[in-house]
Amino acid sequence: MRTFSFDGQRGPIIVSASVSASASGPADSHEFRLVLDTGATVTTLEAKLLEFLGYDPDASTETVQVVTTDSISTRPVVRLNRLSALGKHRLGIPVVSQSFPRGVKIDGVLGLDFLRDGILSLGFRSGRMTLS
Amino acid sequence: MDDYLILEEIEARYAPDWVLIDEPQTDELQQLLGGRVVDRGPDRDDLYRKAKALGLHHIAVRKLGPWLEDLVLVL
Repeated sequence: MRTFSFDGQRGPIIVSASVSASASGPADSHEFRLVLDTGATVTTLEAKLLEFLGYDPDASTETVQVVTTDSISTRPVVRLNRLSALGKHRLGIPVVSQSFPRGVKIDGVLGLDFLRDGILSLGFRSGRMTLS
Repeated sequence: MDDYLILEEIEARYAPDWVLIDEPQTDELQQLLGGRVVDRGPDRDDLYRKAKALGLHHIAVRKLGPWLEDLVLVL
């Protein structure tokens, strides 16, 4: 079991992650940052990141209804070859494609679908977390 | 701009821009340690276009600078 550090006193919980490209993509992998969100049922990634890796959200036939604080919208879903974060690897995981505002320094949201078969421990005083 | 830099050097040189990093080095926890900054700018989309044009295979695109104190997330 690996222990990860985060700032438990301010800001979001940022998680380092990487994703592998689809077989047809021009790139092999991408390192990026996600916000850990136990209120999100699915994992969401920046659309431009997915497109760079060769995924085509606009061509996806799989969609979901995404509920935010002020809207419900239909968003495309793509299935990643591999998503890695918190020492875990998920193969074939579906993620929602979403565009984030340019000034926000995150690339997506790590949701409950990534966490469900594990035990997530968050120590806000110590700034330590584990996913076992 | 093609020298290998550790993340602290990248932050010091290029914040608050977005940077395109080729062959990023990470630790066993997948946290970014450093890499070669091949481009920088205020627009993330431009960096993805540059990465495609250069035919890069393993990248990181990172917004530098501190988390803004008056920016909160309600996802």
